[in-house]
Amino acid sequence: MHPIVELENVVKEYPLGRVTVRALRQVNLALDRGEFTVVAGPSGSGKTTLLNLVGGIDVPTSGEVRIDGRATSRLSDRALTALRLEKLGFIFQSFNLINVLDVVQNIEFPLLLQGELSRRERRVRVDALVERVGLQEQVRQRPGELSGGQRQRVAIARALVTRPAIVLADEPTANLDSATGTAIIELMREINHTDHTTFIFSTHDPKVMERADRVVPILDGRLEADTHSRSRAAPVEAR
Amino acid sequence: MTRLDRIALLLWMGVRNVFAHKVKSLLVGGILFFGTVLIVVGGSLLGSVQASMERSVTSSLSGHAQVYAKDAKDALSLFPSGPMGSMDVGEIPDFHAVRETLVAMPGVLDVVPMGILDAIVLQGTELDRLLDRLRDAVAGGRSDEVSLLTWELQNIASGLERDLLAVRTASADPSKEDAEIADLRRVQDPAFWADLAADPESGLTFLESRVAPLGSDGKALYLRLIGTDLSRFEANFDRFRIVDGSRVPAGSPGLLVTKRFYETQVKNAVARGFDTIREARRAGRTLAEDPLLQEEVRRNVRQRRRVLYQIRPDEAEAVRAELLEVLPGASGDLDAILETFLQVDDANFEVRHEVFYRAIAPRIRLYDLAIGDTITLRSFTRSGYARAANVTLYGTFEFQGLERADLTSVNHLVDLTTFRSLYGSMSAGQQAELADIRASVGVDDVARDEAEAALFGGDPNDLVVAPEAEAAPTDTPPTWVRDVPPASDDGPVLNAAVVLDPGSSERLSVSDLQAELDARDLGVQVVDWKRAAGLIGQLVTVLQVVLWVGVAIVFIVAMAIVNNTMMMSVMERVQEVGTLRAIGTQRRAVVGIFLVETAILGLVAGVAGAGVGLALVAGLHAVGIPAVADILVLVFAGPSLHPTLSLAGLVEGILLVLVVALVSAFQPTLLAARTSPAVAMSPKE
Repeated sequence: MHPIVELENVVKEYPLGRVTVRALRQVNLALDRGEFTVVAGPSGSGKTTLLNLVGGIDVPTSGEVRIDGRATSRLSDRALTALRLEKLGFIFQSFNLINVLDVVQNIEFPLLLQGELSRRERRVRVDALVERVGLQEQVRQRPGELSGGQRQRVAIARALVTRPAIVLADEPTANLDSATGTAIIELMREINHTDHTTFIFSTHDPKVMERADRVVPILDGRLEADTHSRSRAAPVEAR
Repeated sequence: MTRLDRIALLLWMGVRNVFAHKVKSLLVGGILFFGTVLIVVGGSLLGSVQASMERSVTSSLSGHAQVYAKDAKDALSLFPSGPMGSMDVGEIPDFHAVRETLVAMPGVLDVVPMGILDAIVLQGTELDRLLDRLRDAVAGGRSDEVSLLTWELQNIASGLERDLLAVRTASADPSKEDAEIADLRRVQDPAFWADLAADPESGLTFLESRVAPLGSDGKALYLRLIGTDLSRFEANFDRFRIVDGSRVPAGSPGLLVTKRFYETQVKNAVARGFDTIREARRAGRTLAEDPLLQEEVRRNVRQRRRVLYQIRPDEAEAVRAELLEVLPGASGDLDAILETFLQVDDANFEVRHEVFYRAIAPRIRLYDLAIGDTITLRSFTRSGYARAANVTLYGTFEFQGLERADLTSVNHLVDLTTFRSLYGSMSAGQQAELADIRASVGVDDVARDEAEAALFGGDPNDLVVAPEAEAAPTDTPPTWVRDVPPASDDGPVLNAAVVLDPGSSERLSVSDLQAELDARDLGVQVVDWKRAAGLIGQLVTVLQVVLWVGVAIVFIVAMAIVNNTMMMSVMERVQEVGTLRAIGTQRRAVVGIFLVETAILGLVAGVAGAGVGLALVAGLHAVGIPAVADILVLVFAGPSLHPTLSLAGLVEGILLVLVVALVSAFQPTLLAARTSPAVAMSPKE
């Protein structure tokens, strides 16, 4: 079975005024299904760029990113968007919920975009997730009425509702206090265990790294030798 | 199901977003709201003005359409829109055929023949009239009347002398005035009248040649005449109404002038001055404050002799006594008393107006042309020959609702026979006479390409036709004389009003009529009332352009503001859009979200604007917009406009605003759709 995500000699450059910023230089990475991986590195190391490529939000300047065997650079915007909808779930640092929709509507949103399930099926799936993330009491509340931790739970439920192959989380605990952050990580870890969902994080939170199956350190756009040990903290944590 | 749920979610998001982004919604919604109000109210006013003008013009003169010669030099203009006498619309080649063709069409009620020309009525001065009477009285040996007229003429001479003395003091070379003053003194000398009794002719000649020219100038009245079949005109234009006098008996030469013209141009100047001041005061103006009215008073005082000279000497004392009743302390002759009497102010005006009409008006010639008078109309034919026709002034008329409209008051009505004689066409008798002459000299019509053969005998067998061979012209008139049945349709018709059944006026268009006439090759053109009315008809078009330019400007500004506001809104929501894109929303769907939001806003603003517009129009309808200027009476088809609004007008307004909203939101929306999903992630590292 091929890895769920493969990066091969990936280079990503951004034009920044007259200069070109090399965000990623010759990155090779393969992620297996069910892995709980952390991409760790300081600000500007290329963490988010890496996550954008893995998530099909961006395409490489050269090299190849394959998500579930499909090379993203050969896909149209439309196909790439469809790929994100089908294969990926996203959890953002600042939650990024749709403010005008309530908890249930936010979670259901990707299912409506897919348009595959009936109303009953959607209801069953959303209800199950609401229970899983523990928001039964808040179903009709809107994001503005929720705490940070509750919002991130909604975001997790939204990311999971389409049963994606991979869930990307961009510094999911950065805007949460440490206790809440720990609880959120535990929740994701638990889902990873029970559903074998592949998780990829970017973080520089040592507590998150502790819970990871695998830590991929990144510095100046290059991957360092990664470790599969959960007990070791990433040595690259600088600042 | 899913699709419906998706649409439901989209609408839900749209509504929530409208509320969530209050500043943007209020700004954009407010602009769209005012845009709708403008369209709805403006559209209603314009539509109502167009409808009322159409009523005015079609019911007073034009009918639903006008027909005239295709090869006319000028465009037909029923209302004057250029210098007098400049319009040449030619003649309808075959009015009989035109009428038959049109009347055969379902929905056409009648075709009324017409012709327009300008005529002049020359009026002598008061002095001329007195001299005419004097000549009559002398010839008839009526000495009582002669002595009365003597007194009047002496009075006039004394008044004129006073005027001349005033002029003389300012004159560089007073010798001319001195001679004239000597003539006037001679008239005041009883010796002159004794001589006149002995030798009437030389006395009268002196008066007519030396004194008459010293009187104020005679007046020429310009009349724009519509010659028409008066009974058919009255039958087809139901706003037409006789005010004074009577209708013209069928077959008689007769003139009807508009009531407004009669009151403003024909009425005695002093009486008119009283009327004008009264009207103005009724409209809330005062003599104390209005300089125009004060000028009117001064003019009345200056013109008092237009009254004075008309009062018979044997009645002067009675008038003087009646005036003195309201002028305690006044003294002097009638002239002096009249001068005081005419110096009206706000306090005494109503009383003096009443006294004027009670004591003076019945004793003077209140109108220069009295109903029943025979009037000489003068005109020039196209080729420049002067023509004159005597016609009886039967009465005055007006068009109901348009009484105050100046423009509908300039066209007077005259019978077709009188019109034709002024226009310069020949009567049947004259035509027969000319035909006789042609027959006796052997004139024949020859086509151009056969002219040579006819002149020089192309065919040797062809004999020159002897004049005796021509039939008697009264039996078979030559071909150039049109058919001569005895109806009013015979003889030249310059234009004609097509009157439609009210129900058919919507369905039967000018092009339908034109097509039918062209099929018979009748050489006439059909124009709708708007074009037939001339400049005034263009007013509607001008108003239309003004309104739409106004609306366009407002909308361009609105679009710029809406576009800008939407752009800022999109920038503000870039994170939201990025998130939507990241989690798998297609660009199309992003466009959808924004457009639905805009559409909801547009619809709400549009419906609210249309509601307010409707309320405004309803208010205006109930109150009525007064026609403050006389031109507006015609435009409004009455003293006030009561605008109406159709459902279609409302829906159009809402739809237009919706389209404007969507168009101006489109570019920002596309920009939103191009947002990279990467912006959802934390800032680039």
